[in-house]
Amino acid sequence: MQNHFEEQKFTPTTTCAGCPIGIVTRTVLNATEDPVVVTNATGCMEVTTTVYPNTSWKVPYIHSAFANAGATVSGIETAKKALLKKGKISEDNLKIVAFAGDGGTYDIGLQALSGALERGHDFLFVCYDNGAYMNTGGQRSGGTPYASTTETTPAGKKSIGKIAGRKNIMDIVVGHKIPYAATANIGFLNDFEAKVKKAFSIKGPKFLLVFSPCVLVWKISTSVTIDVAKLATETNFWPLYEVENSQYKISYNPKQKVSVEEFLQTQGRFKHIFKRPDGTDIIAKIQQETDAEWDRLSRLAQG
Amino acid sequence: MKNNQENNNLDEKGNDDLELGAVIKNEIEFYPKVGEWKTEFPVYDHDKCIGCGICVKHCPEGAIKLIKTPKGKKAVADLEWCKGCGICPTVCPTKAIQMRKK
Amino acid sequence: MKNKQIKKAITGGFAVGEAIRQINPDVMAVYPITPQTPIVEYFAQEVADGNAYTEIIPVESEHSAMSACIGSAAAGARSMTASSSQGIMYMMEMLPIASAMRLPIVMAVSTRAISGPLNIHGDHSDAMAMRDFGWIQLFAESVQEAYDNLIIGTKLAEKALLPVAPNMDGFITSHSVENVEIMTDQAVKEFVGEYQPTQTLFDFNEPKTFGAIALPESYFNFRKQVYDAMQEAESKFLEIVSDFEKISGRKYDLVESYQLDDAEKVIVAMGSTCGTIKATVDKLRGRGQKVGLLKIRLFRPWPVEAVYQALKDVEQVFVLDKNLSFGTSQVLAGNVEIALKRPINSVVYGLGGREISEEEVEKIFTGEVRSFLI
Repeated sequence: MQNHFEEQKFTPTTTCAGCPIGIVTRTVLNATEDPVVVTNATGCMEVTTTVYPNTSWKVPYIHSAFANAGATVSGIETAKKALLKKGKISEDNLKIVAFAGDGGTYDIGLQALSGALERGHDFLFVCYDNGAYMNTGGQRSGGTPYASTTETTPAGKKSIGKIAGRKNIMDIVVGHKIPYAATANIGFLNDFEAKVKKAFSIKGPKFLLVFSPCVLVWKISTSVTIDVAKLATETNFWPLYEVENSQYKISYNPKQKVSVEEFLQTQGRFKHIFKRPDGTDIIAKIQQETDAEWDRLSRLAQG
Repeated sequence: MKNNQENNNLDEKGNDDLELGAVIKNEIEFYPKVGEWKTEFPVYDHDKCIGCGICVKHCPEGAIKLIKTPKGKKAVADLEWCKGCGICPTVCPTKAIQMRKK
Repeated sequence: MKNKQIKKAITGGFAVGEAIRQINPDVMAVYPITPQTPIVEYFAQEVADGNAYTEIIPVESEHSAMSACIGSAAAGARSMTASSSQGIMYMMEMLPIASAMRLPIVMAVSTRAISGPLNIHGDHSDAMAMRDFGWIQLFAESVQEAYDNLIIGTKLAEKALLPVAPNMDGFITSHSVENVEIMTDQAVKEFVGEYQPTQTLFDFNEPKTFGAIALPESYFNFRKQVYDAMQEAESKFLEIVSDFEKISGRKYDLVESYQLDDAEKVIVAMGSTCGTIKATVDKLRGRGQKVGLLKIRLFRPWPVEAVYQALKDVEQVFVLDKNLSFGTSQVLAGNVEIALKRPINSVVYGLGGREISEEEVEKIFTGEVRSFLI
């Protein structure tokens, strides 16, 4: 079906079956008709889409290293300005996108991201957040949730898994006073798509944090990626909101209050909690933090 | 170096075919057929399918597309690229998709 | 044809900044580190006053400086930056990536000692640390050569499709005022020409992927591609310096032979110390001693044949390294030994900016100093 991919900007990859990376990429690329240039930090997305001599990208794409999605995108955006000035390119509607996983955003990539946001380059940064360093087998990152088991914070007789909570990367990004930042979810594609379109219509640095389950390391069936993603937002584990010019706006208000325990139950990475004697305490703590964050966001959105 | 070329001794082959700076372009014809991974495949009931396109957007490989049929626009999957993940049945609003074992 | 040059008394940092201004690159990533900061400060002021149209990216670290240069060079923009010592150490991850992608980035280096302990003064340890990453490296004895090397280096980078690091000695050259012949803006612009990339990110008809992952079947071949490009860079350098002579009147070669004709003892060195050595050679020649200096200008790729030809009939060769390698022989000494295929005398000097006097150079010639001029 070669015709099928002729109009596509992104073709199949060697990701695990059920991995939402393809969904994230296509949703972003298809949200605009304008030319797009992509930069990508090292990680699952980069490695599964560019194994020489094959590439899944039908838009210009560059990967150079792990820590520098923010810096590379700054270079590309500046080159765009310089070459437009000289008349060497004419695509002044060129959109520049940086993709990175949570590792390349929260941790090793944080400095470059911060620099790019502070300098005010015109680009969109999309973090596909699966909560750990998946490409290397599932080690903890700053985005790994509390009490999740990972290869470097394994649950065991003496450990509940990750002791620290998740870094609030949205607060960090919003602290840079950029025009637009939002959380998104592959389980809410219309909302995700609308946010990408809005981001592309704004000049300056934009940030999207996309909830992206990892089938392999979260230990879920390949077919439930979307179901688990939807549940994350329905339980307020992953609230959907936008921050436009420092104004908070909730994108989705779950009609029913679903306990976060229902979300935790779906994934193997939290299974150990349910077997522990202090399991109910851990779950209560997670519920309490989830509720507190939802209240905080609600208050910010109101005024 | 193209997909369909043998890997040869460095000195013999010379480097004419080697891309400058390892910079490559998309050639889907040579991409590994990830459809071979699957153990199940989706079957689309065109009587139930309403051509909404939700499965198209949710397919991680972009392997589903809507085609014109006498019954209207309907979904079909390209099994060369479908990994058989099973996501499309979970998002179909009319339950028109079933997974079947290979 | 030779252009009407103006004589100016300026520091190495300002001379290099002036050369960059005249070239007017598309993008320059700037981040401060002693002793290269004057380069970027001078240049930033020129841009702020409208004397250059470069887009400056004031990055937040050197790693980001090189990453930004890679992004912009891949996009088809002529890209430059400047760094030293710990900055180079911090961006080291990106250096081989720049050469593997065949990007003609120019990085002006004000060579400085690497930590630890922390030292801001000049030696060659930062340049040595990056010698194996596919970057063409040039060394300058004076502010004039620093200015010229930047211009030559820019053209060489785009002809060889390899990144170039023109080095000048930190503080000694970068911060000292010397007389320099500055060419006209027009002459420099015509010499370097327009950057015409063969492949770019901004190709929307045939989109390219840069930075793929290469498995064992192909990685080796790509490393060899960089190796072959380095081998060819020597002849490209010679073409370019020949063209450069026509507009500047200054003749440059891979190496500079100073009083080598009948020399029995020769010192091989790089950088500003060559000035001190030349003065010592003159003094000793005045006393009838047959001594000479071989100055290395193009350090990477290593001009093995030129070094051999210059030194093959010299009895005693002393090689000065302004860098210290541990657990093994020294870098420049080892390179010279490979060229001559016989043992030479290796001396380490000047680490962390420690001065070397003419008297001490004499002691090297007399053999009073063996391995360390400490």
